[in-house]
Amino acid sequence: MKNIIILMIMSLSLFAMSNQEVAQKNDAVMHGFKDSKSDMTMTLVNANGQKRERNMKMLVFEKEGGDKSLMEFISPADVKGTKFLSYSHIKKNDDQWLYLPALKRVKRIASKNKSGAFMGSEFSYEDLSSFDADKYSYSGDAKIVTLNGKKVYMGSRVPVTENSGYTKQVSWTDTKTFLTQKVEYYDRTGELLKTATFEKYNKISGMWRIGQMSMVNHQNDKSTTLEWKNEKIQTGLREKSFHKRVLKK
Amino acid sequence: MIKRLTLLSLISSSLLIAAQKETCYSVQLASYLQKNEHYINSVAYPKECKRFSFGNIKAIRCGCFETFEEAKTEAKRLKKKFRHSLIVTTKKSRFAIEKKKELTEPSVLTSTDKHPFSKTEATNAKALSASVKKDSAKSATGFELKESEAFVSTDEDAEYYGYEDIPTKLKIQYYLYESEIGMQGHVNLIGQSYPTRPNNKHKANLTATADFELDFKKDDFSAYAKIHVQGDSADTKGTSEQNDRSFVRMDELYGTYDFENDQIMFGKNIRFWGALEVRNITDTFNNQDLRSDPFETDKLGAWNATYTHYTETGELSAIVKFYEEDRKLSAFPYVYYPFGEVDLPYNDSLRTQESNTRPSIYLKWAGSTDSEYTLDYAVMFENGYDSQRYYTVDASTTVTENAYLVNKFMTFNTLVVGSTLFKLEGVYADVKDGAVLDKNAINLTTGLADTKEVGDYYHLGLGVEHTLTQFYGEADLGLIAEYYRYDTLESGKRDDIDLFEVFQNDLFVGLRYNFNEGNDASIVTGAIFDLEYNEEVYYVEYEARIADTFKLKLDYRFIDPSPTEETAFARMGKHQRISVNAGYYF
Repeated sequence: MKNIIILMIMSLSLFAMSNQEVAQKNDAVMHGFKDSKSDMTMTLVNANGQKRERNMKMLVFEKEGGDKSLMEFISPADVKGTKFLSYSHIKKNDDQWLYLPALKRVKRIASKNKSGAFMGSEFSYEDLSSFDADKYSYSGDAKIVTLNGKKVYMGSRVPVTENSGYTKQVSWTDTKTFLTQKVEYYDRTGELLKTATFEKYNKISGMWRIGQMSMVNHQNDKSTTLEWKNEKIQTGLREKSFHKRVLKK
Repeated sequence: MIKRLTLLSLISSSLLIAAQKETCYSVQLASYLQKNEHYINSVAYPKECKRFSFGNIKAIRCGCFETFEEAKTEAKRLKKKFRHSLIVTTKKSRFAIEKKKELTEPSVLTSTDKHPFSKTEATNAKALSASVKKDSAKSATGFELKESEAFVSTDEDAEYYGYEDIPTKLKIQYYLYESEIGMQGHVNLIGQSYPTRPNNKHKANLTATADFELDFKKDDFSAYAKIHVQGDSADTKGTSEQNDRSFVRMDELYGTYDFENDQIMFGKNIRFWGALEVRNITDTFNNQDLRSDPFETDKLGAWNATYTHYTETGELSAIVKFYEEDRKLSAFPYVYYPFGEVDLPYNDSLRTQESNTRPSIYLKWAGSTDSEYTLDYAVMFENGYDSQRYYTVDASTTVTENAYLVNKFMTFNTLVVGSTLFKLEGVYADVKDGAVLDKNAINLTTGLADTKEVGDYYHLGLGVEHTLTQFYGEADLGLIAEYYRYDTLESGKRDDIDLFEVFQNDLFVGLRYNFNEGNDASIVTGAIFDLEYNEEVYYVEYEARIADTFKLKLDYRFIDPSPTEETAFARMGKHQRISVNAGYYF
């Protein structure tokens, strides 16, 4: 009897869910880490298979209305010390500054267009901003399909902002953990542009954190992999840690 | 249905509690990479704490608390002796296994043994480390009970003894390990050829430069040093060919200390103030080195002390620059020698209105607004020596640089509207009377006395920068336009030509094309039109990274100076330049 009840309860979670519900659950799962410190390795692979690697240190501060993040480049050597500070906003353009250590200059960046490539990679600025369910509109229920042997919710969403580089995104979300497994991005002409796969999720201090994200561009055959290492969350970072003063430190 | 929901909630809660029960809060005293194990060996810690190994990390953690509050109380206590303590979450099983091991593996030291770092017994850290290593060798991988036990004192009075008794050398090593020390630099080889140039000036230059940077960070203190070395191949030739462009220069050497909302800084440093792309008229703190390529930024460091107070959205700084440094000048055969086609002797002692140790004081208020259209703004006031200088020639035709005093108001701003940046830089200088520093100066052309005062002046720069994202494939195209206006406000005094001011009524238009590829390749091209003196400057630059450690920069420039006025470009002479700059970065 007990087993039947548990089975029933488990199956309840597989009942049809709307795309919006799936997105909201995914949002809830990935939020609540408060702050994060990690090392990032970005590997750029061109159409001929040649690889280039970049290493960064990343700090993130979770905030209602938009996260704050600070990225410091460690390599290549000519950009070492370059810092990128971003205050993301849901309802207006992000605030972004770049610190160029050779000139000691803090340069303001216009961030209206979120589709631009991030540091020559296949990731755009909007791909890297933290997932927020409110950034998209949804319709219909998610389908339950199998992806790499896992049951996942498959559904589509449309970016709300007109500055997005995409007309549609199709996502695959684990039915148990509500963690994103894969996303397909469709460009402004409606053609499939890129596919992102999300791997190596780690549970850090009780929170799911992504370990690796790979983006393949189907239109130019390039790809980029982002790997997070040594991530720590709830480290005690404060909003002050993201004041513009940190750029010159 | 209600029953089902209740059951579901119960099961969910149980699962949540179960998940929570897997972890607990612990106070971490220290953590090190495996390779730095010797540091952890130097830490004596309370007996309730344990050492753990996770991959290549070793850590000392104390207690396994159910609530954060409990851990916080313990952390507060431990911070008195271990000020880097922090609260972490950890698997309870780690402590459980440890306890199990304790039962199976007896301690190395008994309750009657002396603590290795106790004050009552002389300590030899090396011997201690050796003994620990020996014990460690006996241990299985994973949790290293014997090592941890070896440092656990059973003498309550000696419980926190240890750090004071560690040899100074080890303490220094520990201090340095806890610090962040970084080194970087680059070496560049620059070849410049001038297909068009003034008579008798060099037709080519081969220059090698190197920059070495060292930075140190420890808690709230940081220090930075930078040395610049430059060598020009012409300086290895005969006297008449030498252009005095070889030197070693300490650009920066300073320390900063950060408080919660404040920072103090002391030393020699370089700052950047400005918003525009081609000429930053508010970037007045450091002067350009006159021996360097005038089209590259190469500033001289300035000795100063600074106090900065930070608010939520801005900063207020008070800066005292201690003195004005002398500036050396490149010699005549160099194509950018600024005094025409005559080799004049240069006196590199700066002539100043008051003593050169008369401090210059700067106040700066900068911040950002959080409105729909975000504005980054800065307003500054200076009382001291102006960054704008003038040159006089005495009867022996020796040229001297002159520095005069001003009260100067400056502002630089960037307004963000969509994908467009609107920029403004402005300067108003109230020049102190009596800025005639050499009563015997003569005008080289007329032979008459050259004793004009410097008048009050303003300088404005307006700019707009619009970026077309994904203009072609992934490449972005930036469109830039800037206009500059300079004027003196008093007649009969030195004007823009006397003061070598190039951007007095000039329009700049430029394009920046970023390929947005892995090698960060970009092309920048621009044209500057002098709307008053009919001067034109055109340039194109290409830059890309090669094999991650090399950088290549190519540029072409053409300068067509005023045919009628003795402007700075006219003195420099009409020329074309092709430049190749190869850099190695480490």
